[in-house]
Amino acid sequence: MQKIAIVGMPNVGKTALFNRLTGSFQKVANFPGVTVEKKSGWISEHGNKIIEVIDLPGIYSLDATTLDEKVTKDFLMQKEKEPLADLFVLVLDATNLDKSLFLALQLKNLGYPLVIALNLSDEAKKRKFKIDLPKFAGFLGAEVIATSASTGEGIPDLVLRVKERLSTQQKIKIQLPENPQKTFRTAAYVNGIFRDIDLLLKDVVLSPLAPDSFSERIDRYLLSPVMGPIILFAVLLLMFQTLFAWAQPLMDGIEAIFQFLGENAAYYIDHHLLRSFIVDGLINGVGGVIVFLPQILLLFLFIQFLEDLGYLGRAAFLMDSLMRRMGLPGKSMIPLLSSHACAIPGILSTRMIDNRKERLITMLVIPLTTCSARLPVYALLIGAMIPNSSLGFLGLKLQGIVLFGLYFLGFASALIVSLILKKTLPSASPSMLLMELPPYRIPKIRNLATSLLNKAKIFLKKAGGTILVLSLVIWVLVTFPQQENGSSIEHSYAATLGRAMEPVFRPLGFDWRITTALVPTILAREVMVSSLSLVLSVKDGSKGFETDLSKILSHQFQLGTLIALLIWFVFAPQCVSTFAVMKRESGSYKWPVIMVIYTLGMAYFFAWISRILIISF
Amino acid sequence: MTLNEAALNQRLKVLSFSDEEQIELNDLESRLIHLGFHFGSMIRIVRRAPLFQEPLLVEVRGRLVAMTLSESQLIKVEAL
Repeated sequence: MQKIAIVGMPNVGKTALFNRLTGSFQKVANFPGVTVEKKSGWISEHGNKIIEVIDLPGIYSLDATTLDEKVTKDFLMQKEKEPLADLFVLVLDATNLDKSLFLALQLKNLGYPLVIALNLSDEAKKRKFKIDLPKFAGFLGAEVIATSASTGEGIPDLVLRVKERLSTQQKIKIQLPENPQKTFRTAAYVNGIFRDIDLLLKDVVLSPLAPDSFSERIDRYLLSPVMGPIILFAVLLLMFQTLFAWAQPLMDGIEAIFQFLGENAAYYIDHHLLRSFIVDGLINGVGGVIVFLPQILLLFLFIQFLEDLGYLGRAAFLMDSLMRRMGLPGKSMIPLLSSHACAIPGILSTRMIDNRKERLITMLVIPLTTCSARLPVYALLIGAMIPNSSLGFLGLKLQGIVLFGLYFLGFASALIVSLILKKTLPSASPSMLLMELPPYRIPKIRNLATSLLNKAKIFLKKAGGTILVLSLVIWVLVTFPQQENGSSIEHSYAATLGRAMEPVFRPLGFDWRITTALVPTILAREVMVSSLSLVLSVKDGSKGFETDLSKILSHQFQLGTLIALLIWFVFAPQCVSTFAVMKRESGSYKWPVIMVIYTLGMAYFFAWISRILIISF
Repeated sequence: MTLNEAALNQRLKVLSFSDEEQIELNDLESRLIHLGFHFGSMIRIVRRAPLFQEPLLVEVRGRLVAMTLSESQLIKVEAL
């Protein structure tokens, strides 16, 4: 059977065309890189398969670098110099012709047998674009058929021409240069092709695309020296507000549902150990995974919306020089800011940073920013140490100032660490901003929904399991060994572990009660409040419980110890969810392990220093 | 002159990249050229980012391309 292959640059509708030709239903999406491996199907006639069709991932040129581009390049540039298909259907984007043409001329010059589908012709027509088709075909030495894969226009014609060509054509040898990789990379070669493109366009374009003056007009406001930064600030503030305030009711709802489930399960299960396993272990663990979803989905709704709108690149443009002075690219602003709500969505959103080194750095410093899980712990410790008084005539609350100081400390240390990492980590590729800013477009709801569904799936599948397993481990540590009258934390493995760690933490002033309470905090930092109350035997949930706990803390521990504990929580410990997501996103255990070691190191060092300072004054 | 020295909205023609001895393009140059900055191409600086006057926003072949100051220093241009 004769074979044809579909080639072209990414996002020109190759897969849609493939579906039209073969009558199959491959997934089509409105962003580049949907096809990552080659797929095949058949053109049928009266129920008989007559021609095999191969859909290849998109490439811009034969000088391909990324993995999915290599699939296509290997297919096109066989060592035997005989193409793997009898004919190539080259798909061009009529609304983006000069960009599409590079590959076209490259293939034409090398002698590939081509039929050209000038796709998106309907849209080009709307924008008053007109070209001399016969002249264009003459230039490329191939037939050109105007098509629209979305409406089906021109497809029967295309099939007809393909069949004609296949029936008359003879075997063709490709003329590859001696060292193709090198040749395709020389300035002379690339410039030569672009010069030909310019000549060609000048000759065949009868009326050019109407310029996109709409985007230009909007940019006048959104990128202006004064308005631009103000609008950006407002957008970031809105994002912050969304994550902090508007995600909260959803998270409370999820917690309430799981609490309801737990209470009901507890009611029906008599055996206390089984009950504890189901309620405190399983239901709590699953709830602890699901509770991240509102923030993750809201953040990505926000990011995807800005991306589809065309604003995300412009935000990076506005922030780039400021962030670059701190060792990070402009795009890292969004992950860093959103991490103040929670590190999990923050780490997931580092995907938009293209440079691997910069993405790793951003990921590694994210845990230093003050996530919302630290707030209950900060509130407790500040309440135990700082009097609830105002400062002079300004009416500033002393406690508020300390809290602000802690936020600042977290963010400043994230920036300092990122500068250090920038100097020490090796980099594979140079840091670039260089990017095209797309025209503004109205986001499509379908696209947003697909992207959100994807993000939720990735998080639940790849990180959810790890988080669940680790929360069960913690459950075992605080529940066993069993006592006669049920379990109590003082006699648990956690306490054994806490007592074993006590000598290590003595320089910080932590005794076994604090180190024991620290063990379950690797689940989530806010667990510290309840685990401390368990160790100190303060009744949880009673009225005024938190002030009671604060009072007991200030009576039973020295100021130096409490300060050290507060500083400890600025830098460490990292929750298991952060660990699991970072492992997933960086692709190995190496980076989360490095993150845990360096944050623990910083936490220990600065807690120790601050206690010494307090004691000596 | 290099691109960063040009004035806003001045019509410019790309002459070459700064390291002319090199025959093979590096990653950055290759990306530049495929974005439309081949030799002979017409470009103009549309605007500069607030605060530090960089990155630059450059119009090339009807597209907008953002680049840092150091990236713009790679491109040799002449005013028309």
